Parts: sequence; C-alpha cells; structure tokens
Amino acid sequence: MSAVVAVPARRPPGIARVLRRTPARIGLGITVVFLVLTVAAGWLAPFDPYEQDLSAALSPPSAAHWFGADQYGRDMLSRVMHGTRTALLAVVVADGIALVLGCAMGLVAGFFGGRVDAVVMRLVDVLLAFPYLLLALIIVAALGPGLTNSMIAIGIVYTPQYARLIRGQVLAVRNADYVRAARAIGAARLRIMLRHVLPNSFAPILVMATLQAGSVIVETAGLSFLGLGAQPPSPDWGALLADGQSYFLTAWWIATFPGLAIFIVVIGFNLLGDALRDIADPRRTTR
Amino acid sequence: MTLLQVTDLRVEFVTDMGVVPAVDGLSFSIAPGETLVIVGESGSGKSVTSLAIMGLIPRPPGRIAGGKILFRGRDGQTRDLVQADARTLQKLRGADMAMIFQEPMSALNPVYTIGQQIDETLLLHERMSGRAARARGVEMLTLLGIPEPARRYDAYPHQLSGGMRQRAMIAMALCCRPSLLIADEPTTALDVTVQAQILDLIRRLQKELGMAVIFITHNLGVAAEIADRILVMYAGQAVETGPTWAIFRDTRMPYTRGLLASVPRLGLDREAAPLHAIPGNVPNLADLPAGCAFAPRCEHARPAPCGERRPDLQSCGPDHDVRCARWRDISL
Repeated sequence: MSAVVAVPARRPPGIARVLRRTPARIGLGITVVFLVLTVAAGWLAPFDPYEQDLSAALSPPSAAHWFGADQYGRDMLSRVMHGTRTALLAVVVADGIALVLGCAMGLVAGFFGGRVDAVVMRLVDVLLAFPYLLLALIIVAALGPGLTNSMIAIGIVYTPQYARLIRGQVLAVRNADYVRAARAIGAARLRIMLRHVLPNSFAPILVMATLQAGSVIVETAGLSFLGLGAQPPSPDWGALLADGQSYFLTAWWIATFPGLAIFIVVIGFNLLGDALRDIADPRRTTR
Repeated sequence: MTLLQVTDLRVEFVTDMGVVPAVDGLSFSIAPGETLVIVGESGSGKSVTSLAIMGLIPRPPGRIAGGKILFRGRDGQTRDLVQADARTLQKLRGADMAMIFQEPMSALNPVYTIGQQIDETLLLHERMSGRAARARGVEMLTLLGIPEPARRYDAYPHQLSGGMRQRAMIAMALCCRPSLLIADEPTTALDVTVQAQILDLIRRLQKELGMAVIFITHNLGVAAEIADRILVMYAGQAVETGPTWAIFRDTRMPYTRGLLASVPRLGLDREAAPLHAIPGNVPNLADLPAGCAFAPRCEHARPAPCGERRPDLQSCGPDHDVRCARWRDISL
C-alpha cells in the first residue's frame, strides 16, 4: 500500500469542481440542449420544417408559431430546431478535418524538425495569412458551392491553428526522457510518434477543438448566408439568416431567431471550451 | 571473449562555439557478465558514451566522428554499431542491449500503465500473445521485488513511488533478457536507502541473467560497491582505468585521487580533515588547454611536460592504465 502515492501537483482540478462554476455549467447546459435537439428535432419540432402553409405566411410569433413563420408559412421554430443538425454536421466534419489534417502536419513538422518543419510551417503561415472567410470563399469557389464543399473549405481554413498548436506540444514532448526510453527499447519512429508523442500532446487539442466548434458554426453559417454552403430549402442557420434578411424590416423574426441560435450555441461551446481548458491546465484556473 | 569492444570512439557536437569533442578517442572492452563503472563529473562524456553505444546520439547536433563499437549479439554475430543501419540498431535495442535512465519519473510515459510499457518492449521483440506478455510482465515485476505485482502492473507511473518506478523501469529494460545493460546514474534520483536496494537488485539480476553492465555514476561509493572494473573519464577521455581494487588502493591519476578525497566520510572530525575539493572547474570542451586537460587543476602539474602535450594512456600496472605524464614522479 505504501507505494501507492497520489501526486497532488499533477492532479487537475476535478471535473466536478470545474463544473461548480456557473459559466462552465451554462456552457455544458447549452451544449447538451444543442446535442439533444440534433437527435430529437424530428420529434420535438411542432411542424415539419419544409411544410408550407401560405395562410400563415409572415405571421409574427404567436402561440401556434412561437418563432413566427417565414414568407412561405414555414414554422420558424421547427426550422431553427432542425438547423442544429447542419450545425453539428459542420462541427463534426469541418472541425474533424481541421483536427486530423492539423495534427498530422504539426506532428510531422515538430517530430522531424529541420527542413521538414520549415516547409510545413511556411505552408501553414501562408494559409494563416489569408482572412478565414476569404480563404474559405476561394476554396468553395474552386470546389463548387454546396454544404459538403463548404465544410471541407472550413476544415482546411482551420487546419493551421491545430498544426501550430500541436507542433509546439510535440517540440516539448519529443525530447522527453520517455521518448528516448522508447527508442532505447527499440521502438520505430512511426510508433514513437503515434504512441508516445501524440497522446502526450493531445490534451490542449481537445480544448481547442471545443473552442473552435463555435467558430466553425459561424463560418459555415457565413458561407451558407452567402449562398455557397447549404442550399435552400434546407434549414441551415446561415441560409435562414439570408432568407430573412430581405424581410428584416417587416418580419424581423425570420432572421432574428436563427441569428440568436448561432449566438447562443457559439457562446455555449466557448464556455465549455474554457472549462475544459481549466481542467486540462490547472495553472490557468481562475479561482 | 568480449561482448563489447569500443575502439577510439570519437563523438562530436556542433554548437555555437564550434565543434565540441564530447568523447575523444575512448577505448574499452567488456566481457559477458562483467560490470564496468564509468566515473566522471558532469560533462566528462560518460553519458554521451552510453548514448553512442545505444545509437541514440541526437543527430544533429551530435555525430559519431570516428572509431568502432563492436558488439556481439545473442545470435553470435559481431557488428560494428557505428556502421550499422537504423533497422539493425532498432532490433538490438531493447532485446540485446537495454538502458535505464536517471529519472524514473520522466523516463516512464505518463499516459500508459507500467504493464503496457513492459509489454511494449516484449511485443516489439518477441512473438507472443498479449496474455503471455502480461504473464511475463507480472513475472518481471515479481523478480524485481515489487509487492502486489499483479496490481502494480495496471498502475500508472504517477501512482508509484520513486523506487517502485525505477524498478518498473528496470523491468522494462530487462524483460527481453539483454546481454548488456547500460545504467545511466540509475540511483542518483533516489533516496539513499532505496539506492542500496536498487544496487543490490541490479547485482542480483546481473548474476541471474548473466548480463554485462555498464554503470555510469559520479558516485565513487556506488562504484566501489558494484564494479569489476572502473573507467575514470575526464574531458571526454579515459584518464585512468583498471580493476576496482587498483583504482581504490593503487590510485595513479591525480584526478582520481582528487575524486576519492572529495567523497564525504562519516566519523571524521570535521575540523581535523576538511572535505577536500578539486579546485577549478571541468574545462570547456570547445577550448581545451594545449597540454593535459587536467593540468590547470592539478597540484602536481609542471609547465613541462604537462603543459606541452596531452599525455597518452600508459600502462602503470597489470591491466591498469593512466593518462598522466608524471605518474612515475608522483607515486605515493
């Protein structure tokens, strides 16, 4: 028994303790509601998001249509609820592409160093030099508009961030004693890279993925708003915003509720990301 | 019959101050089952020597600039590790030769359990099932005197004490039964009582497994404890080498005498015998003096011959060599 010694210094603040803070709770709450809606939108939504009811066209928020109805009489509440699905898809696909590509680039650059590092990181610098939305526009223009292409574009746009972060982590980890020890037991380079360096560099990446989820939703909605992402009549938040824009002075609710949905979900992801960062890095915890 | 023969090994590092010879013309050999202790201060090249044998010199900035490292593998073949390709070295590391490090905490990967790390070595070098590896792993932990080995097997490094971690590290190194173990100051980071246990353990396992050990330390007490032969290094060169008794009883090199005199001893009156310290510091390897590297700190140094050229290693007794131009004049 005597040999089992807990080392308090390395122990992150318990998840329970971080979740006692209000912002973390709000973030988690919003994220959970968001995730529940993506699954349950079909049952929870009062109307079919595509069903037109011209008699209700442009009707303001009421007991029947809580968020009002658009110019074709489609229920805005149902459309906003169904919009969570495209948003989640954007998070999973675009954030996922960025994470995988970025980690691969950063890992290779940091691990091999020297010229490989220089080439990869200059490429990253070039990508970083473009404003996000402009770069995304260029890529979508090249690939052709559509939801899938817009997500690929956003994924590529966010890749450099991950590449930079993980490269820094790898630089710190690759000279660790246990990496040398792994070489001393005869492990091959690829194995050391994937089994020893990557897992020890990964914690901040999870935090970043959560923080980026919000931005990814905004950017995908932005592309949809510009007509390059999800196409009508699909209930994507960006497309809904674009729809409502021309009616904004007469029917404010069409554009307002999707906008609010984006706002709230992004806040939720950011608060959750902050909380995760506190768990992963106790030194930056604010007490 | 030798297991390892190092001849005229030279290792260089490229730094801002120019090319630094970290190891300069080092030769030694070691027989199966023998224990060689390499003693020296920080920066004397002892760790670099061990890394060179393992093929782990970080490149760049380091490189092996010359010499031979002949190693006889368990397959009976003798290879020059300086010329060997990366794959060959990779196969030898962990299987034929293993290494344990100074800091057991940082040398164990924090994200895997002790068992997973022992298994990794086994599975890299031997064809066996996961279950067989587990059995061997637990057996190794038992052999190393770890209480409740089956439970410790699933523990993470941070859940173990320093001594236990070092045992786990040794289990990792020895599970493929290497013929050569390189131990780079394995006891320095441990409590004194635990140090003795670990030394005992290494000695016992060495007998049981019949392996040769290169033990690197700056602690002469540890060296006296376990060495068959001692190699004293200074500024990248061997300055005295011989059987343990000769180094302690018939010390020839003034540097070795200085080291021996600076070991604190219990029971001595502090005022009667102040603790001896070698004056000065280890020389800057990028800017070595023209003559004997130890001359600036040596009480016996004379402008000639000490200041003129670096002395050669000369025989001063049976199997006993010294790198001192004046060893005949300063004998006790």
